[in-house]
Amino acid sequence: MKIYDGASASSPQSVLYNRCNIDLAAGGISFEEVPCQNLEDVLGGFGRSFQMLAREEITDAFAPQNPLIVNTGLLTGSDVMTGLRIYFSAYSPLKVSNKGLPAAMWSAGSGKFGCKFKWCGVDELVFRNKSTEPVLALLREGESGPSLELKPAQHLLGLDSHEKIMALQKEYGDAHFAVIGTAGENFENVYFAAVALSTENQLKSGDDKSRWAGRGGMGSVMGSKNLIAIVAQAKDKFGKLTPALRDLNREISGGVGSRKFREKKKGGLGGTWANYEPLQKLYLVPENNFRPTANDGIEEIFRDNLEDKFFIKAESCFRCGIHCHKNMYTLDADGKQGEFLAKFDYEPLNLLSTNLGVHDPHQAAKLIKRVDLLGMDSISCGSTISYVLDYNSRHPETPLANGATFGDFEKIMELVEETGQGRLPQVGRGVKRLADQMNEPGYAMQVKGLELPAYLPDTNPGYPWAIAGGHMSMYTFLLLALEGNTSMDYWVKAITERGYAALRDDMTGACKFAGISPDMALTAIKEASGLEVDQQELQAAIRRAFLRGLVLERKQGYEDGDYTLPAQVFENPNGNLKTENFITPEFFTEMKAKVWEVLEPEMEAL
Amino acid sequence: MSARVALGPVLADIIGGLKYLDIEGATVEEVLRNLSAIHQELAPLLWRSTGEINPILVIFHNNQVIREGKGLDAAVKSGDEIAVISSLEGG
Repeated sequence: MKIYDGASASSPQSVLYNRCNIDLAAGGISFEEVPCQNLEDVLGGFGRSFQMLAREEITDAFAPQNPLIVNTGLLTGSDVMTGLRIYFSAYSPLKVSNKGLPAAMWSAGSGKFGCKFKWCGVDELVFRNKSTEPVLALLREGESGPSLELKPAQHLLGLDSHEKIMALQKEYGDAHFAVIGTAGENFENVYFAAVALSTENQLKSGDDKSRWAGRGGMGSVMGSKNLIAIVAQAKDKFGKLTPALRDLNREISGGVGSRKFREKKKGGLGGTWANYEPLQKLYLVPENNFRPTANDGIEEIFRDNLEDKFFIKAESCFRCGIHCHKNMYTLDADGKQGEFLAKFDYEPLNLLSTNLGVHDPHQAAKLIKRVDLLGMDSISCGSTISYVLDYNSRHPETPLANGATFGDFEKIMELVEETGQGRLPQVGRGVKRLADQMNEPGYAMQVKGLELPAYLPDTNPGYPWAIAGGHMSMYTFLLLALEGNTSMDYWVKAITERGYAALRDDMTGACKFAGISPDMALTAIKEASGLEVDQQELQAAIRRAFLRGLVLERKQGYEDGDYTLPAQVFENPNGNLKTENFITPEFFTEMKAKVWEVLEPEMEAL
Repeated sequence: MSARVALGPVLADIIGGLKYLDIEGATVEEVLRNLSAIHQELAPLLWRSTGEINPILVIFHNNQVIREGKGLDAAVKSGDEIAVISSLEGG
């Protein structure tokens, strides 16, 4: 990225980003410097990629012309702690309108791949068309700038996500990797394939500790292009820490913003896994396909109850002091660290255990690990399988797939395996399609085609306005538990004024767990790039990017009927929840009208 | 006495991203009551309608966790830190 002296948010053309266009069919590769058009372009991530996607006419996510955009944020690869994220954007095979058109989507991941990518001297790769043979893209820094080469990748086929990364490490030193697993190779039957991103810990330890760009099937799009891996090979580049940057990083690693994700011995609360306890107090932990039973039998999976049964180690992506990865190892007889099992985060843990009726932590670890190795999004995979189990409990005489039911670990593992290998398209194409096919969509936990994360739709009427997955792109998913407010005005404001603010870090390249406040964000941008941006300009850019996401949905055929919740919320409220069942059809209809009343004029004025 | 109050992201976002504030009070509870009097938009999040502290929040007094309201009556010395964070965050 080139930033000329005097560049500011009001003169984005003074910032040029380096894009590489790759035609996978013809093998054409060209680099270009592109002047930014607005602050969203400068910030990067989906703020930039969605503007490009808006110019495309795509009716099939697996059509060769669907561009796969891989880009970074302004802070990616900088010395701002957690500036690690890379973004994969495309029209999604999973997020579809009721008209059947694919919607624009992005998925972000950390690890070290994003830094190496940036350090090669490039800001964005745009892959178009489809290679006739499996290939990998080798991105390198060179004396005269970055280079990119397409190389055969036949030898990687059939390897799981971790095996691919370790195989590539032997071939390419000083590099990091983005790969698909077997699920991505079988994209036609697995629409929720993820992209695995290597971490330094993974390459050093040899353990399967990838990070993931999981949501929306970006790994499936990558597979559809016969693009098996991207290698970013560059020397590490560290700048000199200014006093302001040092203070900023100290606040990120030790301040109040990231405290939730730090270890208890470091004054934290122990990570997202610790969401279990407070949610269970309100019976809001998804169980048996998002239907809490108000039983107290799920405590076996609480972190405090596993401290003496496993070796739990807090680890990190790269140069991050938060150490949010809660990695589970076996506990040796002498109390030392044994074999690596899996990483326990709230989402994959819940959706691949409690929500499937599995309460044994060892079984949970096996399911999480296998889903990762096959290269699937644990949220989509888990929420689709929970539908299958629910369906089977309702139709014991005519069950789906292998007839698995809640708690049947062996059969659930078989479902995971068959799905990830591409042998179970019924499941692999996501819960919306499956439920429509079975003509029982009411308890399919999806909104706009994307499976729900591990927060009940009964508590979040904001889900339909999330533009890239239910929780990370619309921060309304915990508000009921936190604030307990069920008034109409409150929820309209929560959606139109608060929830979308989390999108900032889907552009900048910083991690959402860093707890970067608005002021800190300005400091980070200034210190990392020299760019002067004020708060008003930054907030306006975030809002424009959000609105653009909604406009793009309309472009792909989203209509009033797409903006809704699973019918079960309205038709069969769960009396077990300790929160109020306030989302009646009348409430939701009125709220939706009021939300659009606020947003639509701004969408039209974009 | 003035304590330094540190607010986690969920609370800070409600008052424009302010994470650290100096608030007067003789006890932890008094500091928090004064905080919600100064920033009234925090009151519904800090306190339940019954007057108890929101059980979803975790309060640290000089890095010691105050659980289920026990310790809210602890005396505050000048320079003490009271951190208020949500026990629910992230995904």
